[in-house]
Amino acid sequence: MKKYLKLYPHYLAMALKSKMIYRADWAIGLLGLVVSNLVTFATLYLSTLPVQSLGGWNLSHIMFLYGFLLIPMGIDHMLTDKLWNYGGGLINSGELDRILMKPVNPLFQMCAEYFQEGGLGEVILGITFMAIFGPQISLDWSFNVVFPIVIGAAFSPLIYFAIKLWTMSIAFYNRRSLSIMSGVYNIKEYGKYPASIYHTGNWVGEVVYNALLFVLPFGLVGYLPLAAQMFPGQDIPFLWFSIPSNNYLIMGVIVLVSVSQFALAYLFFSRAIRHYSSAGA
Amino acid sequence: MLRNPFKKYKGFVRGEFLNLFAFRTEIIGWVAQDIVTLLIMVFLWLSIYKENANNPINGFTYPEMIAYLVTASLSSQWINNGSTFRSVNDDITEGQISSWLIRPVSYRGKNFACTLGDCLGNFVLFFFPLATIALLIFTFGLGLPFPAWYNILFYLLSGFLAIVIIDSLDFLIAQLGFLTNSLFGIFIIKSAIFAFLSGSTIPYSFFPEWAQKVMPYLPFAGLSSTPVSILLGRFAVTDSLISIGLSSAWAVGLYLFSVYANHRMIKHVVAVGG
Repeated sequence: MKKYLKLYPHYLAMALKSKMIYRADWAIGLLGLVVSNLVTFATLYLSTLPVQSLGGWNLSHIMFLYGFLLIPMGIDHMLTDKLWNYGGGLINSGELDRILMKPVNPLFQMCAEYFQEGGLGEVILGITFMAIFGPQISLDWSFNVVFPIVIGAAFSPLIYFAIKLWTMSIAFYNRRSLSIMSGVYNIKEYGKYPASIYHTGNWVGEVVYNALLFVLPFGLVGYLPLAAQMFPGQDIPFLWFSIPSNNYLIMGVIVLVSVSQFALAYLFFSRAIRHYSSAGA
Repeated sequence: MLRNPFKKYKGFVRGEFLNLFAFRTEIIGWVAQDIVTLLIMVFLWLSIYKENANNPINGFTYPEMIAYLVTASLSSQWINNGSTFRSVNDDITEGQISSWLIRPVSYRGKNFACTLGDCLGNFVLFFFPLATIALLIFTFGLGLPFPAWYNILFYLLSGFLAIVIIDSLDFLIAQLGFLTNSLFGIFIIKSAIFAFLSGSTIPYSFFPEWAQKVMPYLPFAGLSSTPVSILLGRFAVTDSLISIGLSSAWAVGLYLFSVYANHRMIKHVVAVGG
């Protein structure tokens, strides 16, 4: 572990240097994800505007949720975005030969070699949205609220990472997995709305709701901690039971789901990578 | 003897068309992804309309809204699937442009022909079967009227104009490849802005008042809002004709501009010695 902590700054410096060759690229990359998020935001805003609220969440709550989500999402983007290239053909072209030669964990190398500046844009945008819509909602800023939310948010990038990781690993069998990767990853769009809107009472809604909390837990990241703030004392439905809206309990659920998602994804990755056969270069 | 000037481009159309058939499994993945996105939308709008006691919002009832968004998403399958942006970008970064310049075809024309092949392939392979299913669902499941025959014709015409507009814009934007290496970033920005301004993510009637007045006159309206509104019978015949006229003007103007840009670009290539 210590070795990796020592290595990472070197990798990061290399990644940043190679990015800095073209200054304009840096700005465009940063802007790219910001613009696409602004457009999603505008769509979200305009579609909710006529009704003002969704499933008990009013416009400011939904927008605050969106800002909150962008932060873990952006952190994941910054650190692990290279996985897209591996799913999109780098495995096929034999890039892994170089990586497997080195006595460093292959996953570490695959991620650390690249820094996606767009993620930084997302984090900045997320903070901006929270700053704009935060004052419009009543939030309790005491330690027992903020601390568990921050800890939960610190673990939740693992969810995005895990889902990218196992879908990318399919490329070890299939050569390319970009369409599966982006198909599954795009389900994150569901998470941008409070998951309670899918909890409509019929079985389809029930399945979607729980899948978003546990199977592809994009809905977990922002919805759970904020639901507990917005509806204090109200139980949150969960599988076949419901849990009280206790901040520390919710933090525990998020940490548990994030870590177990990542552990499973990593297990699959380590199995799948054994399937890799060199291009023979 | 007069030779048909379009004949030499037929090979590009055919080549792209066949190429698409060869890679259909990969593309099925992308289509599946669009279907997932559509499902999100159905859920979302269901809850929005539930908040409003199922009353119409901004001129759309729930079935009309679903029909609009599904049609917009399916239409982009054949309208917005050209190869120009990617191939111009590749030609610039890999220096292939010079090899195109020594061939007896126009570089702009070759790119447009390839896009037509892509769009045709997507139309036959994906759009037609999916749209038929969707249309049956709209008519028998949601109880919406079946599109009039002339609206289907207008839709196809307006879809073709949309291809010309998008392809020309793509060609123009791809020129930025001379200035930056980060065309993926530009691609993301472009796709997001086009999707939003063309009215394919949300109809124009949800836009603020002032924007509603401006949008129909921009080239983006022709990309999605116009063809979809025509097909679903949201426009009277005269409105359809006016919108198609506007799209035609944009299509011709932008295509000519892209041809001009192509000439300028060639000079640039010579200047850097490629």
